[in-house]
Amino acid sequence: MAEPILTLEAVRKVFGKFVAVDDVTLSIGRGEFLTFLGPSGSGKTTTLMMVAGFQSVSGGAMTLDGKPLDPLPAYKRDIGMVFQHYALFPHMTVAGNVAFPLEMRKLDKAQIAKKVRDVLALVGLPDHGERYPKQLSGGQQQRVALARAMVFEPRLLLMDEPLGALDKKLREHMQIEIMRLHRDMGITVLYVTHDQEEALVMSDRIAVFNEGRIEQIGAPSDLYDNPATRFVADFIGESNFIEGRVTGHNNGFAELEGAQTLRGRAEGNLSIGSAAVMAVRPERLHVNRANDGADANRVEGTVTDIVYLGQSRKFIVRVNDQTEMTALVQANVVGLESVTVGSSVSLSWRAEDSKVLGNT
Amino acid sequence: MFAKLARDRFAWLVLPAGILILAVFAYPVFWLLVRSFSDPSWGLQNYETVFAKVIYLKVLWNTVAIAGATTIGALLLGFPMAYSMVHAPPLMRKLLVFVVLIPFWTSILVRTFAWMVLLQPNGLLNDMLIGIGFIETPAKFMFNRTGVLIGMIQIMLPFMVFPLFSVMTRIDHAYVQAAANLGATPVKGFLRVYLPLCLPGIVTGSMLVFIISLGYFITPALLGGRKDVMIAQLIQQQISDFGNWGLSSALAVVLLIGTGLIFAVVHKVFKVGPDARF
Repeated sequence: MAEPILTLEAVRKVFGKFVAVDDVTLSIGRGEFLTFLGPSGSGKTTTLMMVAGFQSVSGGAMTLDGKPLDPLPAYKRDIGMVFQHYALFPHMTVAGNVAFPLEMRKLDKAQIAKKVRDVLALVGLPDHGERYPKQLSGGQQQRVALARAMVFEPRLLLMDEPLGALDKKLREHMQIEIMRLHRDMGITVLYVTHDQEEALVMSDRIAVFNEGRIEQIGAPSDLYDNPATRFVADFIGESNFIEGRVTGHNNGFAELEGAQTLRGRAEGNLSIGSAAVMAVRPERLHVNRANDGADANRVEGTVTDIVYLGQSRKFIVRVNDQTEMTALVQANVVGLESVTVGSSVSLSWRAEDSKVLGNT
Repeated sequence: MFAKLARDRFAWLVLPAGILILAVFAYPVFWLLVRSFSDPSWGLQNYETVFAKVIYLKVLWNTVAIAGATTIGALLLGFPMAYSMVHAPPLMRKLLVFVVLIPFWTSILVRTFAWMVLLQPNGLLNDMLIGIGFIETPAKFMFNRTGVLIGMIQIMLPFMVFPLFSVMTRIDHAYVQAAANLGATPVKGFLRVYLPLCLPGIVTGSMLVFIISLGYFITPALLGGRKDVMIAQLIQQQISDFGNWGLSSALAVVLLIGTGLIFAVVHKVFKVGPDARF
């Protein structure tokens, strides 16, 4: 990672008796795109608000460029922010909005005019300077908010669910555009979202928040392939979970005994005899005829639903009274034509494709 | 507009109120207008009197000055009040709304007499100021402009506070945060962002207070001196003391047209209403 620009050290936020953020420690490298991902109420937005200076910290310390951030009021932090509903000033034109941070920094008029022109061109709205925010579409307002947050070249750009109000097509388009701006301008971005797909697409690294704590922080592929907790395996992408008890542990693999014995990758912190859960992604499962399948792990079950998705199919298989598993099969896989609802099948997967996690 | 009303099948619902307004407002106002030109004889003589005699011009000016000062006073007191109400915790907010509303439920006459009790030379306020050694002899708070303004600002305060309150409640806190985030000090953020966003409330509240104050009668009559006579007092005096319906009508028409003009100008300048910019 590049040299850290922002660090958080054991940061806490308490509202009365409610602990909103607990012991959050992380650092962001210069030019990095880091995403806070989590369900609502998980503390991700509160953490962002503390970085922006809109919430005081109850404990811990933050530094920006090596200097303590806590004593600085919000208006001295030099951190740009794109708000959830953009917060464009409705009584100012687009150009007026974008010029505002420059006027606060007392730049001269000619310089302001040039910078406003340049940044509006950059976000693709060169001719919209004289309009009022109300006269723009959602996507255009989003671009203006972005332009306003970038124009003063802040040390860090915060984005609080900036695409939440846009429809799916536009959202995907803006994701690409934000990534392009991030790459071209070399800005450090701290992005908040509850949309795991958005986080996977855009981020260099993702910090997964749950109940005020960071569950895991890492690259998207890292979180997807190597979740550290059941929450992460469940929140990012889809997972099948099979519960059991740890009966063996060696060479990075653990054995899990439930209805049958299964093997999967595991961290060293699992103790023998403890309750655990095996997580396996739907696309890692192979659907075979009953009592067939060559992989290390195999369970038998009955197909209860087949969902057609175009490029793939989803097989929902009941493996016992408590557990239903989902297998995702690409359309080009052949040999399953005879499988219908009610068919007996076996699901199999490699030990390397599953992970045994502590069951908390 | 009438064609549109006729097409609307609920249009007849406005009939009762419409008839009432026609009977007790439009008709008398029309007769006032006629009388101002016809009493005692047809001609412009009543208007000539209003605009030629210094005493009437003075009263017109008094009226505008008192209404203007009341508006400014109510704005200066009402703005922080409304702001505190918006930003108070829910229970405190209810209490503050209640406090602003109480005077609404009390008769203006009672409130004005209460002010007389408080403001008189040996009243509560003077006793207190002398008691703490702030002044030595009783200050004159009554039968002068000070008395009129104290009374009127207090009575008008709710008309200023509630429009401000309703506009401020709708201002998203994110605007204030955005201003700070973009580098505005609290003072700059207030002046450049919060205050302009309050403008619709300031305009509505000020218009209400100013226009209601223009026609005020009881408070200036009881708390004011000879120099604080307002136009409504003059109209009452001309009718009940001299039976001068023609001149009174002319004064009333001048007040009505003046109010209408002010309303039109403010409407145009601030663009409040359906074609507002935001």
